[in-house]
Formats: sequence, structure tokens, C-alpha cells
Amino acid sequence: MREAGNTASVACAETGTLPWLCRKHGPAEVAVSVRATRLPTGVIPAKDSDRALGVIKQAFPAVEPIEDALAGALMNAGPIIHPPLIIMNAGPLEHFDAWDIHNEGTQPSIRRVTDALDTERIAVREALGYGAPHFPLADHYDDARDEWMYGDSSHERLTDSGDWREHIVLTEHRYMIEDVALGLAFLVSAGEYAGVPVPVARGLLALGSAICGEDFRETGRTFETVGIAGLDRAALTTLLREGPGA
Amino acid sequence: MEIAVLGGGHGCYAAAADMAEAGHTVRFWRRDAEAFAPVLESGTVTVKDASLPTARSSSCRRAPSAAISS
Repeated sequence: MREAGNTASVACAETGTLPWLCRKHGPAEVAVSVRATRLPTGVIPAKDSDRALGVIKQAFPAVEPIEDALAGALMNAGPIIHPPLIIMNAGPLEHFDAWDIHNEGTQPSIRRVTDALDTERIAVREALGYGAPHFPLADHYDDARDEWMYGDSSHERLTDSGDWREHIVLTEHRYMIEDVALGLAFLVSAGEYAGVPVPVARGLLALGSAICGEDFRETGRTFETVGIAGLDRAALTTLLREGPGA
Repeated sequence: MEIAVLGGGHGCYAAAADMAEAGHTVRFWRRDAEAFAPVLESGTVTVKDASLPTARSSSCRRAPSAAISS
């Protein structure tokens, strides 16, 4: 926008998850199973956070400010919940006409992988200096823990709806494109930038890459492809605070 | 408030409907005009809301104030 001559004070905000658990039921119809109750949200440029979130809160009262856009990117739940679900369910997803990754596809071994992956995400956040709450995904599954982004009982409401019993084409679905090629590749690169080992993330990224025949570590959205891998932490903080082209 | 919703995914339909119902002026755009035609023609998105007692079987809420374009 700057290159096009736009001088407006533009701020971009990113939430930790989509504010709705929903599925279209027809060409002009949508079913909403759950609305988010907590939305940790980062803004770039971070110096405009109060102004931007003041506007956004008029539409999304559940917004909770966090440090900056990178903190928001590392709060993203999609690359934590979806890669283990689709990759470890690859066989049944391709064999059966429809398969609910959140119901029969969410088994204890897969949940352990999710927890291990989420532990890596939180370690990366901490190494980069971002504070709690980190919204551990375990909170989503256990109402006895802290309230997660979708509120209590949301996992049950999601599976009860039946809307997530779907046909998923692994090489095309957004759980692979958005959450592996974009989201998980970013987490792996963030781990490398921060000097934090992320073996589970790296392993899942390798499997997703093999499934799709494309090396997402190279072609995905990473610190390198975004153009921030060469910045030291101070320069990265300045970029996040002031915004690109400041 | 004036709100633009860009995209044709599940969440965009929920966003357009919820924001219109909350009283905001919503402009809704998706690039696939053919798939968008039923929304363009009716100017509405019907929401099935699982939080309402009649959830899942009926069209509980409509979003008549959404200004929609493609």
C-alpha cells in the first residue's frame, strides 16, 4: 500500500484463532457451532495497538491485546491442532468417504503429539520474550483448565454438530496449505531463529511436505520468505513496533 | 461501524451475518461471483445458531442489513 502511494495509517491485527467454529450449510447459509470468547490479538505496527484494538473491540468484544503481530502469529492455534490431526489421520481420511478428525480422529496418541507440538510453540514464544498467557491448546480440551479461546465445552459442541465429518483432500485442504505450508513452516523457522529445538514441528512439516511433494520448509511462509530472518532481535522488535516502510 | 468482509470461506459468511445482526454496515466480497450469486440475489445470509434452542434444524436468524457486492 505504501508503494502504491497510500499514506493512511493502516494497522493489521491477527487473532489467535478464527472467531467462529462454523460451516456453510448452503450457498447462502452458515451454521455456527461456537463463537470465540477470548481472542488474543496482535497488531502491526504495535505502536498503533491501542487505536486499532479500540476499533476492533466494537466488533469483537472478546479481543485481548498481546505484544505484537509476531506474538499473534505464535498464538495461532491452527498449526498446532490441524497438522497432527490430518497427518496422523491420513490413512482414514483417504480411505473413508468422510471422517471426523475431531471425533474418531482425536485419539490419545494424537493428543500427546498435539501437546508436544504446543510445548514447542510455547518454548519459542518464551525464547522470543513473549509472556503468558500462551493459551495452551490443552485448555481447549479440558474444561477444568483455564478458559481457552472458544470457551468451555467447545470441543464437545463442535463434534456434536457433525459438521466436521468431512471429506478432506490432503494435498489441497486448507489444513495442509494454511496450517502446514504457512503456519507450521513459520513455527519451524521461528524456532530456528530463536534457537529453540522444534523436533515435533519439524517432523510434521517433513511429513506434510512428503505428502504434498513439496518442501514447505523452503517454499512455505517462513522467517526467510517473509524477509525477517536476517534481522537481529532489536531490529525485529523495531519492525514490529513501527511497521514496514516506517 | 462500517465493516468489510473479504473472502468466501465459512468464517466470512459467519462474520458478515453476525456483524450485520449487530447493527454494523457490512460490505461483503468474494471473488467467485457465481458461487456468491445466491447471496447477491437475496442480500441475506441465513445463520443456524447452535446456541439457540432451535439450533441446527431451522433458520434462526437472518442478516437483512448486509450490503453485499461482488
